[in-house]
Amino acid sequence: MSILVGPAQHPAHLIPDLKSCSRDSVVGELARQAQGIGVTREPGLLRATLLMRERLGPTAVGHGFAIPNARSLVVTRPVLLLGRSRPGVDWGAADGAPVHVVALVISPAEMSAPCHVAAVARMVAATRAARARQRLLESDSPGEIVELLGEAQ
Amino acid sequence: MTGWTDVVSLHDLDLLLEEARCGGTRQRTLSLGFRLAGLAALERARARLHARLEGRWVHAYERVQRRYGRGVVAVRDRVCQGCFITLPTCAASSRGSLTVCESCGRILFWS
Repeated sequence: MSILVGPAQHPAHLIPDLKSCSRDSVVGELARQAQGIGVTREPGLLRATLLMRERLGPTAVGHGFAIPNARSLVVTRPVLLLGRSRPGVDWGAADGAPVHVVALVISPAEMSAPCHVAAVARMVAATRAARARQRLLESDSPGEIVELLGEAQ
Repeated sequence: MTGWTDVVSLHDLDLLLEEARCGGTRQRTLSLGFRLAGLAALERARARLHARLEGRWVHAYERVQRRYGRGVVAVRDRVCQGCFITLPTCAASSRGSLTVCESCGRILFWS
Protein backbone atom coordinates (compact mmCIF):
# COMPACT_ATOMS: atom_id res chain seq x y z
CA MET A 1 0.00 0.00 0.00
CA SER A 2 1.33 3.38 -0.98
CA ILE A 3 2.10 6.17 1.46
CA LEU A 4 1.46 8.67 -1.29
CA VAL A 5 -1.80 10.49 -1.60
CA GLY A 6 -2.36 11.38 -5.22
CA PRO A 7 -4.98 11.95 -7.91
CA ALA A 8 -6.53 8.55 -7.21
CA GLN A 9 -7.66 9.90 -3.84
CA HIS A 10 -8.19 13.58 -4.65
CA PRO A 11 -8.94 14.99 -8.11
CA ALA A 12 -7.29 18.28 -7.06
CA HIS A 13 -3.95 16.47 -7.27
CA LEU A 14 -4.29 16.45 -11.04
CA ILE A 15 -3.75 19.41 -13.39
CA PRO A 16 -5.06 18.06 -16.70
CA ASP A 17 -3.75 20.96 -18.75
CA LEU A 18 -0.69 22.77 -17.45
CA LYS A 19 -0.60 26.44 -18.40
CA SER A 20 3.18 26.81 -18.07
CA CYS A 21 5.50 26.05 -20.93
CA SER A 22 8.95 25.93 -19.32
CA ARG A 23 10.38 23.54 -16.76
CA ASP A 24 10.82 26.19 -14.07
CA SER A 25 7.33 27.59 -14.46
CA VAL A 26 5.75 24.10 -14.48
CA VAL A 27 7.52 23.39 -11.19
CA GLY A 28 6.14 26.69 -9.86
CA GLU A 29 2.63 25.84 -11.05
CA LEU A 30 2.74 22.47 -9.29
CA ALA A 31 4.14 24.09 -6.12
CA ARG A 32 1.21 26.53 -6.11
CA GLN A 33 -1.16 23.60 -6.58
CA ALA A 34 0.50 21.97 -3.56
CA GLN A 35 -0.29 25.12 -1.62
CA GLY A 36 -3.87 24.99 -2.86
CA ILE A 37 -4.39 21.51 -1.44
CA GLY A 38 -2.80 22.44 1.88
CA VAL A 39 0.44 20.50 1.57
CA THR A 40 2.63 23.57 1.91
CA ARG A 41 2.30 27.20 2.91
CA GLU A 42 5.55 28.15 1.21
CA PRO A 43 5.26 27.42 -2.52
CA GLY A 44 8.21 29.69 -3.31
CA LEU A 45 10.54 27.72 -1.05
CA LEU A 46 9.21 24.42 -2.35
CA ARG A 47 9.82 25.58 -5.91
CA ALA A 48 13.37 26.62 -5.01
CA THR A 49 14.07 23.19 -3.49
CA LEU A 50 12.64 21.39 -6.53
CA LEU A 51 14.76 23.50 -8.87
CA MET A 52 17.82 22.65 -6.79
CA ARG A 53 16.94 19.01 -7.36
CA GLU A 54 16.87 19.73 -11.10
CA ARG A 55 20.36 21.23 -10.83
CA LEU A 56 21.56 17.96 -9.36
CA GLY A 57 20.34 16.25 -12.53
CA PRO A 58 17.22 16.53 -14.70
CA THR A 59 14.33 14.46 -13.37
CA ALA A 60 13.02 13.66 -16.84
CA VAL A 61 12.98 9.88 -17.21
CA GLY A 62 12.36 9.76 -20.95
CA HIS A 63 9.36 8.88 -23.12
CA GLY A 64 7.69 12.19 -22.22
CA PHE A 65 7.71 11.83 -18.43
CA ALA A 66 9.38 13.80 -15.65
CA ILE A 67 9.30 13.03 -11.95
CA PRO A 68 10.51 16.10 -10.05
CA ASN A 69 10.82 15.19 -6.40
CA ALA A 70 12.19 16.39 -3.10
CA ARG A 71 11.91 16.15 0.65
CA SER A 72 11.36 19.50 2.30
CA LEU A 73 10.68 21.13 5.64
CA VAL A 74 7.84 23.09 4.07
CA VAL A 75 5.92 19.94 3.05
CA THR A 76 3.49 18.56 5.61
CA ARG A 77 2.62 15.16 4.10
CA PRO A 78 3.76 12.96 1.22
CA VAL A 79 1.80 13.58 -1.96
CA LEU A 80 1.81 12.97 -5.65
CA LEU A 81 0.70 15.79 -7.95
CA LEU A 82 0.25 15.14 -11.61
CA GLY A 83 0.32 17.67 -14.42
CA ARG A 84 -0.15 17.16 -18.14
CA SER A 85 1.17 19.43 -20.84
CA ARG A 86 -0.21 18.93 -24.32
CA PRO A 87 2.45 20.92 -26.18
CA GLY A 88 5.22 19.41 -24.05
CA VAL A 89 7.99 21.02 -22.02
CA ASP A 90 11.75 20.87 -22.56
CA TRP A 91 13.06 19.15 -19.42
CA GLY A 92 16.59 18.20 -20.50
CA ALA A 93 15.64 14.55 -20.94
CA ALA A 94 18.36 12.14 -22.05
CA ASP A 95 16.20 11.04 -25.01
CA GLY A 96 15.55 14.68 -25.94
CA ALA A 97 11.79 14.16 -25.93
CA PRO A 98 9.55 16.94 -24.57
CA VAL A 99 7.82 16.13 -21.32
CA HIS A 100 4.04 15.71 -21.45
CA VAL A 101 3.37 14.19 -18.03
CA VAL A 102 4.92 15.59 -14.85
CA ALA A 103 4.54 13.55 -11.66
CA LEU A 104 5.63 15.64 -8.68
CA VAL A 105 6.53 13.55 -5.63
CA ILE A 106 7.09 15.58 -2.47
CA SER A 107 7.66 14.36 1.06
CA PRO A 108 8.13 16.00 4.44
CA ALA A 109 11.70 16.29 5.69
CA GLU A 110 11.00 13.71 8.41
CA MET A 111 10.58 10.98 5.82
CA SER A 112 13.69 8.87 5.35
CA ALA A 113 15.59 9.09 2.07
CA PRO A 114 15.01 5.38 1.18
CA CYS A 115 11.28 5.77 1.78
CA HIS A 116 11.10 8.86 -0.44
CA VAL A 117 13.14 7.21 -3.18
CA ALA A 118 10.85 4.16 -2.99
CA ALA A 119 7.86 6.43 -3.70
CA VAL A 120 9.71 7.91 -6.68
CA ALA A 121 10.60 4.40 -7.85
CA ARG A 122 6.91 3.46 -7.98
CA MET A 123 6.27 6.37 -10.34
CA VAL A 124 9.26 5.42 -12.48
CA ALA A 125 7.89 1.88 -12.67
CA ALA A 126 4.55 3.25 -13.87
CA THR A 127 6.26 5.10 -16.70
CA ARG A 128 8.18 1.99 -17.76
CA ALA A 129 5.12 -0.12 -18.35
CA ALA A 130 4.74 0.60 -22.06
CA ARG A 131 0.98 0.11 -22.29
CA ALA A 132 0.17 2.25 -19.25
CA ARG A 133 2.66 4.86 -20.43
CA GLN A 134 0.99 5.17 -23.80
CA ARG A 135 -2.44 5.40 -22.21
CA LEU A 136 -1.20 8.08 -19.81
CA LEU A 137 0.19 10.13 -22.68
CA GLU A 138 -2.87 9.79 -24.88
CA SER A 139 -5.75 9.84 -22.45
CA ASP A 140 -8.10 12.80 -22.51
CA SER A 141 -10.00 11.57 -19.52
CA PRO A 142 -8.91 12.68 -16.05
CA GLY A 143 -10.72 9.60 -14.75
CA GLU A 144 -8.58 7.27 -16.80
CA ILE A 145 -5.38 9.04 -15.75
CA VAL A 146 -6.42 8.70 -12.14
CA GLU A 147 -7.19 5.03 -12.68
CA LEU A 148 -3.80 4.38 -14.29
CA LEU A 149 -1.99 6.18 -11.51
CA GLY A 150 -4.06 4.44 -8.91
CA GLU A 151 -2.60 1.20 -10.23
CA ALA A 152 0.91 2.67 -9.98
CA GLN A 153 0.44 4.04 -6.47
CA MET B 1 19.48 40.15 6.52
CA THR B 2 19.41 36.46 7.29
CA GLY B 3 15.96 35.27 6.51
CA TRP B 4 14.54 32.11 7.99
CA THR B 5 14.06 31.13 4.36
CA ASP B 6 17.83 30.77 3.95
CA VAL B 7 18.04 28.41 6.91
CA VAL B 8 15.17 26.31 5.51
CA SER B 9 16.77 26.31 2.06
CA LEU B 10 20.10 25.22 3.55
CA HIS B 11 18.36 22.37 5.33
CA ASP B 12 16.53 21.21 2.18
CA LEU B 13 19.75 21.45 0.21
CA ASP B 14 21.50 19.27 2.79
CA LEU B 15 18.75 16.66 2.40
CA LEU B 16 19.34 16.64 -1.36
CA LEU B 17 23.09 16.34 -0.88
CA GLU B 18 22.58 13.50 1.58
CA GLU B 19 20.53 11.60 -1.01
CA ALA B 20 23.10 12.27 -3.72
CA ARG B 21 26.11 11.22 -1.62
CA CYS B 22 24.78 8.37 0.51
CA GLY B 23 25.77 5.06 -1.07
CA GLY B 24 22.48 3.16 -0.99
CA THR B 25 20.21 6.05 -1.93
CA ARG B 26 22.60 7.25 -4.60
CA GLN B 27 22.79 3.82 -6.21
CA ARG B 28 19.02 3.42 -6.08
CA THR B 29 18.50 6.87 -7.67
CA LEU B 30 21.00 6.12 -10.42
CA SER B 31 19.38 2.74 -11.06
CA LEU B 32 16.07 4.52 -11.67
CA GLY B 33 17.68 6.36 -14.57
CA PHE B 34 18.28 9.73 -12.92
CA ARG B 35 21.59 11.47 -13.50
CA LEU B 36 23.36 13.09 -10.54
CA ALA B 37 25.99 15.03 -12.45
CA GLY B 38 25.29 18.33 -10.71
CA LEU B 39 26.65 17.39 -7.30
CA ALA B 40 29.55 19.88 -7.52
CA ALA B 41 27.19 22.69 -8.58
CA LEU B 42 24.94 21.91 -5.64
CA GLU B 43 27.89 21.96 -3.25
CA ARG B 44 28.86 25.40 -4.57
CA ALA B 45 25.27 26.61 -4.11
CA ARG B 46 25.40 25.34 -0.53
CA ALA B 47 28.64 27.20 0.14
CA ARG B 48 27.10 30.44 -1.17
CA LEU B 49 23.99 29.98 0.95
CA HIS B 50 26.07 29.10 4.00
CA ALA B 51 28.17 32.25 3.56
CA ARG B 52 25.03 34.37 3.51
CA LEU B 53 23.70 33.16 6.86
CA GLU B 54 24.09 35.09 10.09
CA GLY B 55 26.77 33.67 12.36
CA ARG B 56 24.39 32.72 15.16
CA TRP B 57 22.28 30.59 12.83
CA VAL B 58 25.32 28.98 11.25
CA HIS B 59 26.63 28.08 14.68
CA ALA B 60 23.30 26.70 15.87
CA TYR B 61 22.66 24.81 12.63
CA GLU B 62 26.05 23.12 12.57
CA ARG B 63 25.96 22.23 16.25
CA VAL B 64 22.57 20.56 15.91
CA GLN B 65 23.51 18.89 12.63
CA ARG B 66 26.66 17.39 14.17
CA ARG B 67 24.66 16.05 17.06
CA TYR B 68 21.49 14.84 15.36
CA GLY B 69 22.29 14.66 11.65
CA ARG B 70 19.82 17.36 10.68
CA GLY B 71 19.96 21.05 11.50
CA VAL B 72 16.28 21.95 11.56
CA VAL B 73 13.04 20.10 12.29
CA ALA B 74 9.47 21.10 11.62
CA VAL B 75 6.84 21.68 14.25
CA ARG B 76 3.65 19.77 13.47
CA ASP B 77 0.63 20.23 15.70
CA ARG B 78 2.84 21.85 18.33
CA VAL B 79 5.08 18.78 18.43
CA CYS B 80 8.83 19.01 17.81
CA GLN B 81 9.52 16.46 15.08
CA GLY B 82 12.98 15.85 16.50
CA CYS B 83 12.28 14.79 20.09
CA PHE B 84 8.45 14.59 19.82
CA ILE B 85 7.83 16.68 22.88
CA THR B 86 4.68 18.80 22.89
CA LEU B 87 5.84 22.37 22.93
CA PRO B 88 4.45 24.70 25.60
CA THR B 89 2.00 27.35 24.50
CA CYS B 90 4.52 30.05 25.36
CA ALA B 91 6.73 28.64 22.58
CA ALA B 92 4.10 29.62 20.03
CA SER B 93 5.69 31.37 17.15
CA SER B 94 4.55 33.15 14.05
CA ARG B 95 4.44 31.45 10.70
CA GLY B 96 7.78 30.90 9.09
CA SER B 97 9.92 31.86 12.05
CA LEU B 98 12.65 29.86 13.72
CA THR B 99 13.08 29.10 17.40
CA VAL B 100 14.99 26.48 19.36
CA CYS B 101 13.40 23.48 21.07
CA GLU B 102 14.00 23.84 24.80
CA SER B 103 13.97 20.08 25.18
CA CYS B 104 16.44 18.92 22.54
CA GLY B 105 18.04 22.12 21.24
CA ARG B 106 17.08 21.56 17.61
CA ILE B 107 16.15 24.55 15.48
CA LEU B 108 12.38 24.53 15.00
CA PHE B 109 10.63 25.59 11.83
CA TRP B 110 7.07 26.74 12.41
CA SER B 111 5.26 26.28 9.12
